Amino acid sequence: MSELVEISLRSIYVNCLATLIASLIGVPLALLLNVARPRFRDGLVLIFQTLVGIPPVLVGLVLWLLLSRSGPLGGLNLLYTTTVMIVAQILIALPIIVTMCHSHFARVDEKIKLLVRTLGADKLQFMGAMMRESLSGVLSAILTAFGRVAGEVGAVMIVGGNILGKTRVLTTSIVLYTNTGQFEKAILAGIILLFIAFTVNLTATLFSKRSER
Amino acid sequence: MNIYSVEQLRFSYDGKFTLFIEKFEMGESCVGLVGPSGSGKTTLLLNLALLLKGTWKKFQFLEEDVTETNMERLRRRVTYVAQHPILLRRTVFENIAYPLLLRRISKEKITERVEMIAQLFDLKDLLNKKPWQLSGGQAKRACLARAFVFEPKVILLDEPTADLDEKSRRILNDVLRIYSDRTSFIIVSHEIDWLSDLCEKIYAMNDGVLKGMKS
Repeated sequence: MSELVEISLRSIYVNCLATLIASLIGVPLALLLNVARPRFRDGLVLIFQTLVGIPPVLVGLVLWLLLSRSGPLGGLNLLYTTTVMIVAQILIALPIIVTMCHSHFARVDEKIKLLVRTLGADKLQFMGAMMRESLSGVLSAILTAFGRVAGEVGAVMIVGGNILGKTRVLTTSIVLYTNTGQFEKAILAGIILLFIAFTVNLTATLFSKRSER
Repeated sequence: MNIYSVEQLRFSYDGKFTLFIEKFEMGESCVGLVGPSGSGKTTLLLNLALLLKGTWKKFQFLEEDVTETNMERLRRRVTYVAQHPILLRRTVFENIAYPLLLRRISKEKITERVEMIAQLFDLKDLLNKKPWQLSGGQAKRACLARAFVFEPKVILLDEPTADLDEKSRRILNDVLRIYSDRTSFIIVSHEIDWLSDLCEKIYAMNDGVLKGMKS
């Protein structure tokens, strides 16, 4: 039981931190792409849209090749640590957040954009207003990304190695328990995973409702 | 003091419609603009509000040349009120307070100024309402109050009497007179009689060209 508690806590830590970092990078990036409209915007959006569908095992493989002893970043000794698991999950979450947020910001009514500018907003204030107008959309993007990383197994298995007491998380433990015939434990881990996802979604929904009230 | 001094201003939406202003000088406190629908009145207001950027030989606002670098700063001294009410998804109080918040004015002053302008526009009982709880006329008054509350140098009013009943029109007339000593107005309207009472000059627009002028 204590093993499952420890695995659950690690899962929460890895998934939440990865989603948080991906949000801190992805949301402002999507805002910038919308407001500053750089010349390479369409190309960048297309790249992120393509990366939304990237198989997590491919992310894991690329990271493994980069960080393995013979790889260019092997000296960092990050392989089989929670740090690299978080990095992998950020790479999976980031395209989802950027693409979804970009689409929500683009959908803000042009009249609202005009209004905010004519009332005297500078670029930063304009971005803040866009953020507030799209808050529920931004939250839904973050939740979708969280859902994706919480249920992800391929990348964390490759770069984390599923080491007990070090890098094992709920998804990788479900794979292990199933392969070794410990179905009760596998189902319990699955229920905990669902409960975590439910709690995060409920909190975000309550926050969204409160901010719109 | 010249509010606007514009020469050969051109603006085009994708090459389909072209606005061309040969010369437009404004030193008066109230100017009217009339013309048929689609003649370019709103496009001209949006250019004068520095919300659309055309090309020009000369474009001075408050005796300062408008350039890419000072546009954002100058835009803070002029505001445009659209024909149809546009409100943020916040209370009426928060909507009216918004431009003051953008200017980082203290909370006490914001409350004081919002209550004062709400009194003028008869919005005192509606300050806690959300946009979807307002009638068209109430929403329009909230939009007008939000434009007046921060006392910009120029307010560009696009069909301000649309959606307003008789009482609200009287309120608007009173407010326009009260603020005429510190704010200038350009008013687009189809009601020439009303504009004649209020404005020192009336311009006419047709097919994107500022054609005539009646004093």
